[in-house]
This record gives sequence, C-alpha cells and structure tokens, in this order.
Amino acid sequence: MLGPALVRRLTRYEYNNTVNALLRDTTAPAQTFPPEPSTNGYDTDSTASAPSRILIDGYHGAANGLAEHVVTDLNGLLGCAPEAPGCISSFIQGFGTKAYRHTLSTTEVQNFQTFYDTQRATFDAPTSVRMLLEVFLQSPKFLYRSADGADAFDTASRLSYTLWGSMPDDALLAAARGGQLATKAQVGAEASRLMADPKAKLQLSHFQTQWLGLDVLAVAQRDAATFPEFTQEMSGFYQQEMSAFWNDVVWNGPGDVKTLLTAPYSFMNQKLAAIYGIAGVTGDTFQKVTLDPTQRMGLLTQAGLLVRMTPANRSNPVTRGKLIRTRFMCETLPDPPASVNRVEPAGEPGQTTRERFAAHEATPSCAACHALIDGIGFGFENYDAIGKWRTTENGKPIDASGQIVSDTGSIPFVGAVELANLLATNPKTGDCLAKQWFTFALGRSARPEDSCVLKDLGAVLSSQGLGVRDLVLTHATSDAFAAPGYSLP
Amino acid sequence: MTVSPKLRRRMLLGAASVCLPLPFLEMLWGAKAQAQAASPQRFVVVYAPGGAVPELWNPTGTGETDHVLPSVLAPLEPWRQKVLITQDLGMKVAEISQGNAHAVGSGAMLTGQILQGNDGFADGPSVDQVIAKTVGSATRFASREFGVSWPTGGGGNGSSLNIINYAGPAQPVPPSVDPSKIFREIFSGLSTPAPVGPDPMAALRAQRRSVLDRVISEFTTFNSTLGAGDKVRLDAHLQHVRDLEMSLGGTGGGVTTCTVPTAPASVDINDDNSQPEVAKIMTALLVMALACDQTRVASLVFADSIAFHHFPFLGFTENYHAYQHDKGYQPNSLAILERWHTERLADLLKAMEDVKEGPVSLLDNSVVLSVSEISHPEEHGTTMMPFLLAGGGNKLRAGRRMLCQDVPHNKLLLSIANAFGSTATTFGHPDYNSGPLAGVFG
Repeated sequence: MLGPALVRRLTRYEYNNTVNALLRDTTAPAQTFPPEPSTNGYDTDSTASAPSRILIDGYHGAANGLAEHVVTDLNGLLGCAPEAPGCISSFIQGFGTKAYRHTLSTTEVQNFQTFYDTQRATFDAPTSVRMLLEVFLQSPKFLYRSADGADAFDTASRLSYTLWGSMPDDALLAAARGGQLATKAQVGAEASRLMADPKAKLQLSHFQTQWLGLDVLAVAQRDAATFPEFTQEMSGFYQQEMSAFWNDVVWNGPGDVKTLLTAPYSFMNQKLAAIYGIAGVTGDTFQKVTLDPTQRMGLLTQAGLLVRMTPANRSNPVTRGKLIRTRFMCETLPDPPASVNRVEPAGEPGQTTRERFAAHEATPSCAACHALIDGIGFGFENYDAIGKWRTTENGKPIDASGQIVSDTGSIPFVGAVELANLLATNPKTGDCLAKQWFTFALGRSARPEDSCVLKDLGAVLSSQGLGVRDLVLTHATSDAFAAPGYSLP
Repeated sequence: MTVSPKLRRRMLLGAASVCLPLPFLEMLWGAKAQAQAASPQRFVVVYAPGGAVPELWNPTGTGETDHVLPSVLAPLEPWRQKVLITQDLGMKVAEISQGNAHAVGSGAMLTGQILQGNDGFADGPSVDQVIAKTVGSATRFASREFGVSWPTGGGGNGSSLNIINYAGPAQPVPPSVDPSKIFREIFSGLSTPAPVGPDPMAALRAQRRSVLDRVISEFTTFNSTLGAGDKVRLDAHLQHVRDLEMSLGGTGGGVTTCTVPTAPASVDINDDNSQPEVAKIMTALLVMALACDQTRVASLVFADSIAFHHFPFLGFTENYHAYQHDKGYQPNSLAILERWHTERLADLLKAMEDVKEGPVSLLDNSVVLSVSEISHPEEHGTTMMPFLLAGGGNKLRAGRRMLCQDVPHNKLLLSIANAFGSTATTFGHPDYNSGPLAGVFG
C-alpha cells in the first residue's frame, strides 16, 4: 500500500477502451500488460503498487505498435496533408485534447511542435508523426488521470472512466470546455447521457465481473471423468448466463437487490439447461427460463457463481461462505495463518463434504473463524462443483442447513434459496452493493470518513423502485464523486 | 504451527492457466521474436540458506495470477511477470533422510535424494549437474558454481552441510569463492566480441530514445496535485522510463550480448561486511559467464546451510543461524535477512534482463531456480518449500503462482531436467519420483 491516489493509472480495461476510442484500435494491446495488483478485488485499486518495469515496457511496446499502425493512413489521421500550413499544429491541438483529456496549453502545443520540427529535420513526415504519437501515448498525462482534481476536465474524465471505463467523448470534452459541468444538475445531465450509451452497459458488466470475481470462470477446470459435461465451451456459457441475467435485471428490470437475489428466472441454452435439469430448452441460443423456486433463485444459485465459488471438484463451504461474507456482506475476513494456508480437511473416504469440514469445528484454532464462513457455506451443499442440484452425496442425504453467525447471535437457515431471501430482505445487502460500487468507482477501499456517503448510496438501493443504475447516477452527483473539499452547487 | 497429516490435503485449484504473453519487446528491436531455440538456454540455481518465515514468504490470494507477494518476496514485484512461484511443494525425501536437518535439506533440495548414511553426502546428482551433462559439452565449462559467504562453519568440502551441487552420488561440487581467481579462470584471454555487423536498428533505436527523452520531459509538466503515494508511483514510473531509454543504448553499434568484465577489485571475502560487494561481483561474473557463453549452467550459493555468518551491515549482532532457532525463532529479524537475499535475487534478474539477446534478454533465455534447504526456519520445515523459478527459458510459464499441494519436489526437478533435454522419467529417490510437475513449462 502506498497511500491513496490523487492520480490514477488507467487499468488495462480502461487503456484498451481508450485506445479504441482514440485510435479505433481493436487489438486490445493492454492484454499483454501485467495484471493490476489489487487489495480489494477491483482492478481500479490504484494504491496497491508502483508500476513495474514490465508495465513500462508494455506501454512502450503498445505505443510503438499503435503509432506505427495509425500512421499508415497519415492523411486520414491528420485530416490534412502534413506539409500543409498549420496541419501539424492543429493535429497536435485536436489529438492532444483527446489524448490528454484536456485542452492543451500554449506551451504544451509549442513543445510538441518543436519536437515535431526537430524530428522532421531528420526524418520524413510519417516517421515524425509516428514519434509524436509515441510521446502522447507514453506521457503520464495520457496514462494517468486526475482522480481528485476540481477542474471541469477532471470531472469529465471522472465521469467517463466511472461510467464507461473509457475516455470522454467529444461532447463531454465540449461540456467541460464550455463550463457545462459546474453544477450537480449539469453533471447529472451528462451522467444520464453517458448511461444511455452502450458503453455504460459494458462498464457495469465489467463491474459485475469483478464484484463476483467471475474472471475465474475462464480458467476453471474440473476432473473430466467426474464431470464430463464441464467443457471449455461450458465455462463460456456460465459467464454468459451471469452476464445476461445481470444485464436484464439492471437494464431492463428494476435493478434492485431483491430482484438480483430472488428473481425466479435466468437465461440459458440447451447445454446449460442440462446442468440445471431443465427440459425444453433447445439449441445454443440463450433464452429466458423460469426456475424451480425450491432449488434456485437469483444470483446466488446461478451455476456460474457456484462454479466460481468452488475451487475444484468437490463442494467447498469455505470458499462459498467466504465469497458471501466478503462480496455480499462486505466483511473483511483475515487470511488463515500462513502455516495452515489452504488446507482442506482430507476426511475419510465416503464422507460428505459436511462431515469432512466438521474438522474445522473440532479444531479450536480453526473453529472461531470457520463458524462465520462454513456456517454460510454449508447452505450451498445442494450444489455440486459444477453447480448441479443434488440431494445426496456419497449415498448420504444432503444437509444444507446453515447459519449466519454474527456478534448479535446467529440466524439459522436451510439452503441457498432461504439464504438469498434473508440477504434480499436485509438492508445491509444494499449497503454492501453500494460499497462495492464505491470501491470500484473510486479506486480505493472505503474509509471511516466515507460513512455518510455510503449511507446515502446504500439508501438508494433500499428505496422502492430504485436500482443499480440509480446508484451509479446518485454517486455521480454526490459529494463523494466531486473532488474532496469541493461541492458542486 | 504443525499441521496434522490428516489435514494436509491441499485445495485443488483450477490447474489451467491464463498464460500471459511477455510484453512484446520485439518492438524495441523492430524484429519479430526469433525462435527461442536460436539462443542457448541457461539454467541458474540460486541458494540462500535458512528457509523462510512462511507468513512473509508464501503469497496470499487464491488465484493463479492475483497472488499478493508478502514482504520477503516483495522485491520481486517488478519481476512478477517473469517469476513462477511453485508454492506448497513438499520436500518429502528430507523426511526419510538421516542427519542434521540443514545437511539433509542441502542434500535433498537439488538432488531429490537422501544423504548416504547419517550426515553423509547426497545419494545422487543435483539437477544443475544433470543439465550440465546434457548441455555442458557446448561450452568451455559444463557448469560454474559461485559462492558468496562460504563456508561459514567447519568441514569445508567434506561436510554435507556445505554442499548443494552434486555430480553424482556422494560427488560434491563445491562453489568457488575467490572472485579474482574465478575472473581469471573464465575471462582471462577473452575479449568482448565485436558487434555483428552494423546495427540495422540503430536509427529506430535513436528515434525511440528521442521519444522517451520527450516523454521524460512530460513528467516535469505533469503538475497535478500529487499525494505522497502518487509521488512514489510516478517516480518509479519515471525511473523505469529512464532505464528503458538507457537500455536502448547510445553507442549506435551493433548488438553485443557479451561484455568481458574488468578484473574485480580486491575484496576481503572473509569479512562479513563485504557480502554486498562480493554478491555484486559474483552476480556480475556469473551473468557474463552466461552471456559470453562460457557456461550454460551456474549456481549462486549465498552461503552454506549452517549459516554462521553475520550481517553487520544490516545492523544484526548475532549470526544468521541464531535468528532461525539457535537463539530462538525471530521472524521479524529473519524477514529482513531473507528479504536482503530476495533483493540480491532481483539484482541477478535485472543483470540478466539487461543482457539483450536479439529481441529478448538473457533472462528470457534462462531458467533460474531459487531454493532454500528448509522451509519454516524454526521447525526445519519440509513442507511449503520456499522455491520459485524465474526467467523465460524453455518456455517457462512465468507470471504465475502454482499451488503444488504438497507434492514431492522431485517432480519439479524432473520437469526442469526434462525442459533442458534430459530424457529421464524419474528424478531422485525412488519413493518420490512420480513423474514431472505439470504446468511449469509449456
């Protein structure tokens, strides 16, 4: 941890979106950059580490590749012939404003012009323009954005990177230039405009992926003999289902916590429906399907999340309980002592998962923490390692009774459906989702002084008829979104 | 804390992997990456005694790439994409080997074998020597072993406490410790080869340097309000840009990988205060021995396993072993000492990275194996061994952390030997030689 960031480095996702918007690049060069280290599960955590040499090499390689590509159509890029009077200067101003996300100062323009003229004395125009682009794309003014600045251009970047994960479009930059981001109403109007763009849908989907850690699905593996249906193709379907459900609830539905957790439907194709044991779904196309309400409802019982919460071939109350505790209840769990790290009770042949994990309860040094974790995780015992419903394990009936242990006592429940209902009716679940968005959007974990803002944001999700989109818009016009010490009228 | 064997079952983690490609340095050189096989592949062992405080060595997190490096490994953060941590390997064979735990570990870690008798020498060849037999005939030296503080206890070449490299059963290969002598042996009479032809990329590299020069100026006008953390991050960023500019070279000559070093200055190798200097010299000699293709197999031995040497330059009054357990387990002090060794490992990686071999680096053409003879310093641990690999040679799948579920480390040794062309199907003691470790090379 190096302290909070007042400037934030673009994430790989933001970098790819930005060069796509700026240069129409579709190669996503940031895929070769090292993954963002994170202390809170979100790639936006810009406090976690200093940039590495490998990242800087990555920026270098990407800048060179991008620049080399776009100068192949030099006149298209410049909009004029390079030798035409004023052509380069107007390109520097126009392109620079976009790349740096603010109007360039006279000095900045002059510096670039001098650089260009110097190169042009030795090299041809395409080479000189290419070098110009390489500077822009490796400059800190491109790679970092001000997180706390009070300038209208900072506000514009904050809006676009929060709502789109990308650079401001021309209209947003024009609003900043024209003083149209000076009041909460004006910021709110721009936020609403941005939310109507398909980029916002992608960004909220990106948030969902990180909130629930769904990247893991792409690399999840299962023993082929035990789970022949778990193929590479299937892991894509798991992701598709979760994404389709999220998009439907957030963009076509109320987007509220209750629907996310208790919706009686989901989306699947034939192969995925087979995992659910649902008949009548044919073909590869995803369709809306009604679920058996005794077995499934909402996010928690989706096969993708169950696979995400299960690290290997057997159900695991620890990883399942941990995800609920950390991502739906926003609790911090200490890592196990390193000397017992990642030790799963081996148990005896023929035991159920529940019997195996009873070792935690029987071991005093494990019991206290694992009551919190396993107590919830046991509620998912009806689902196997690929998310299939089961009523027996090793010939023994499943016991899916669990409990939510807290300081004030414990709430017993049976099965994930009941757990989902309990979470859906607890206002703290909305507070937690709001906190997740806050953490993602601000690029840092919440601090004690954020409690008022978090309360306001959580209240949105407790309000009748309001959902995730309202949360995003409320946050965008809140004081937490504006620079510290500034409050827009 | 000791874990009962009954609980020693590791969670299976998705074994598949997103293997991130290395950043495409070929843009630096304007050439497509040549087939890796075109450059010789090297193997380097780095050994620092004394194990590792588990809480401060073992990465946290559950994923393959999202692991967090604790303080002892933190110096490797910049090398994250070129490091493969083989976490939770077991060194089973040490549990059936007879003798001092440090001798047992020293013998077992590279051979996968027990000691002969009680405290005898290891009963088989070490992986570096197996590789030296496979690739060593191509170079003047089949292998070279470099010692920094060696030996710190008694017994010299005759004690299994002091030996990690073995040419065969009970055939110790002790390290060389005299920098001047090593220099003479390896580099005497050699001269830096002339660049191969004019550098066709000289103009492009000059352009890249001009660009980076301008980028560096951009930092001076990046005048946003910065917090203390921002300053640290941006300073690091700027320094990397400067290093990058430097690495593009200023001479305009061709590409040379081998630069014959100058003779090392005289240094008192018996003075513990000289360790940093000796480590620096040995690292430089080792890297150039590889770069000049005098050998393709090398070991950097920081000390022998009894570790009776001191670290006065870090402010410690007792010898290294004292902090492990001789005077009570002192994890906070150990963490500083262990981290010092990690920093030296990072120095080695940097020196190897700085040697460019066509579109990649010497490091990319190497496999570096970093080991210690025990895990938990107090318990002489034989589980959760603090082993890691670095580099990119032989398609090492770096940039990841593997959770190895307490499988015998013999599997890793076999995989490495196989990667360098050995056709062996087992490695080390017959009880623990069940095939290679999947996922290391690919």
